Amino acid sequence: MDDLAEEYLDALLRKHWNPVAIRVDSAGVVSEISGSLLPYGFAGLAVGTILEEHLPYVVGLLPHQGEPLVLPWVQTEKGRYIDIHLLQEKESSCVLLIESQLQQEERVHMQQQGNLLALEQHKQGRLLEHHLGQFVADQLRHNELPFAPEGERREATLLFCDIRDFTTYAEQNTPQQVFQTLHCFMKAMVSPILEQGGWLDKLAGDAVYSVFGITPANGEGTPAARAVAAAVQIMKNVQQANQRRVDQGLPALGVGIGITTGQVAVGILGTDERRQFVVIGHHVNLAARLQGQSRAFEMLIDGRTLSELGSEKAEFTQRSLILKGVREPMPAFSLFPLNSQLNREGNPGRVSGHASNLL
Amino acid sequence: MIQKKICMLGAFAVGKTSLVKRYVHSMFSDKYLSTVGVKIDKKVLHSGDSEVMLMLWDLYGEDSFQKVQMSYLKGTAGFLLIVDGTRIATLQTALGLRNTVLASVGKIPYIIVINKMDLRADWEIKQSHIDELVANGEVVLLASAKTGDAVEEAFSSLTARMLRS
Repeated sequence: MDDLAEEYLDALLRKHWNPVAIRVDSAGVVSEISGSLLPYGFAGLAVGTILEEHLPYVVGLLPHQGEPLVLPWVQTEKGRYIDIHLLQEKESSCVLLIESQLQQEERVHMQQQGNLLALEQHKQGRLLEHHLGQFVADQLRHNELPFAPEGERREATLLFCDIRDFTTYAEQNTPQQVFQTLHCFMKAMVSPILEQGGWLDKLAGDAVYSVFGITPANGEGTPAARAVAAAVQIMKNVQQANQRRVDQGLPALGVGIGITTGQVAVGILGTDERRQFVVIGHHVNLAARLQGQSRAFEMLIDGRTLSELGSEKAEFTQRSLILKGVREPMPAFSLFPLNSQLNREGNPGRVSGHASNLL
Repeated sequence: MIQKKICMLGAFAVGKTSLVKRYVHSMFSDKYLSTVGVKIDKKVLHSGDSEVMLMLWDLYGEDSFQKVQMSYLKGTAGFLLIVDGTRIATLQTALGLRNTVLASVGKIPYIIVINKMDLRADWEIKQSHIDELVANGEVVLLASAKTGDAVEEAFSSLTARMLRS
C-alpha cells in the first residue's frame, strides 16, 4: 500500500473510530496516552493514574500477556460503544480503545429483530402444542406434516361433538358464566381426543371437530376404535363435570357425538398470513349430521365405523335416521356409553395417543 | 475494598439485564431490549466482614447466530447462569455455557438462577428438572426480576461463595 493510501486510511480511522492507545506499566499505572479521550468521557484518566480506577472494563485483565485480547461492543456509562483491545508490549501493556458506535446501531436493530422473531416463534410453538399436542406441533414446525399440504385423499375417522342446548344456555346466562362453562366442557371434550391421537380440526363455540387416522398414535387400535374410545371418555368427563356443577347449584348439560369413517380430502388452506388444516368430504358432513341427530349422551356412528370395531360393536343398536341432504333413511348405530358395558369395563380402544394436553 | 467481577450468562431474553437492573437500580421494565456486547454496572455490598465492589458484566445472550466470546470471561471471579423458566431450551443453553466457561476459565463459583418466577404457571421447566439439577450438585435459585424475588439472594450468595473460594 502506498503512502497516500495509508495516510488516507489513517485519517479515516481517526475521524470515524477515534482510536486511543493507552500504555500501562506492570503496576497498572498509565505511562502514555495517544489520541483524544474526550468523546469517551473517562474523567480523570491521565498519565500517572491507575487505569483500573477509571476504566473498570480492564479490572483483572492487566498486565496483559500473550495474544491480543478483544472485548467488542463494550457499553460505556455514557451509552457509547467501544471495542477494547489489549496488547502485550515488552514490559508494559497497551490498551487500545476504538469506537464501535456506527456498527452498533445496525447490530442492535438486527439482534433485536432476530431475538423478537425467535421469541414469537416459541410463543406460536407453545400455542400449537397447546391445541394440537407436542408431536403434531413439532411436525408442523419442521415441515414434516403427515400429509401433503397441497391436498391428499386419506382414509380417516371424524368425531364431531357438541354441548346440547348450549345456545339456550348462552342466552340465559352472563358472558362470564358462558365462557366459564365452555372452558370446563372443552377440557372434558378435548383431552380424550388428544390422548387417543386425534387431531383437533376446529373448536367452534360449543363444538369440537376432530380427525383420527391422519396423525400417528402410539399403540394399537384402528382410528375408528380410538375415536369411539375418546367418545366414551368424553361422556365420562362430561358426567363428572356435571356432578361438580350440580354440587355448585349449576345446571347439568348434555353432550352429543357423531362419528363416521371414510375417504376425505385433507390439506392446508389459507394465505401467507394465516393457514389452517382443512378436512373436506361427504363423511365430514355425515359426521356433522349424526352429531346433530344425537341425543344427550348419545354417540351415533356410521356402518363403516361400526365395522372397524371389535367386540364392543355388540353394544350398539341400530337406528334409522332421515338426514338432511340424504334421500333414503340411513342406518346409524347408537350407544349411550354411560349406560353400557363399555362404561363398566373401560374404553374399547386400548391405545394411548401422543399428547395429553388440556385446553 | 475488594473488587470482584461477575458475569451474567445465558440465552437471549432470559432476563440478565432485568436482573442487574432490579439489583442495582431497583427497577423493572416489561419491554424487551436486546443487549449488544456488554454493559458493566457496579454495586457495593457487605458480605460478612468484607466490603465488596461487584463489577457486573451483563453480556449479550447466546442465540442461534452468536456464541458468547470467552474473552469477556477473563478475570471473572464467578458467574450467574440465567435461565428463563418459560423456555426449556434456555436451560440447555445455560448448561452448555457452564461447560464452556468452566473449561475456559477453570473452576469458579456459579449459581443457576431460573428467572420469571412471576410466570410460574407458564413454566416449561418442571420441578423434576430442578430436582435433577440439585441432585447433580447445582445451586439453583428461582427468582423474578419483575417482583424482585430472590434477586438480592442470587448476588449475595454468589459473592459469599466467591469470597470463600
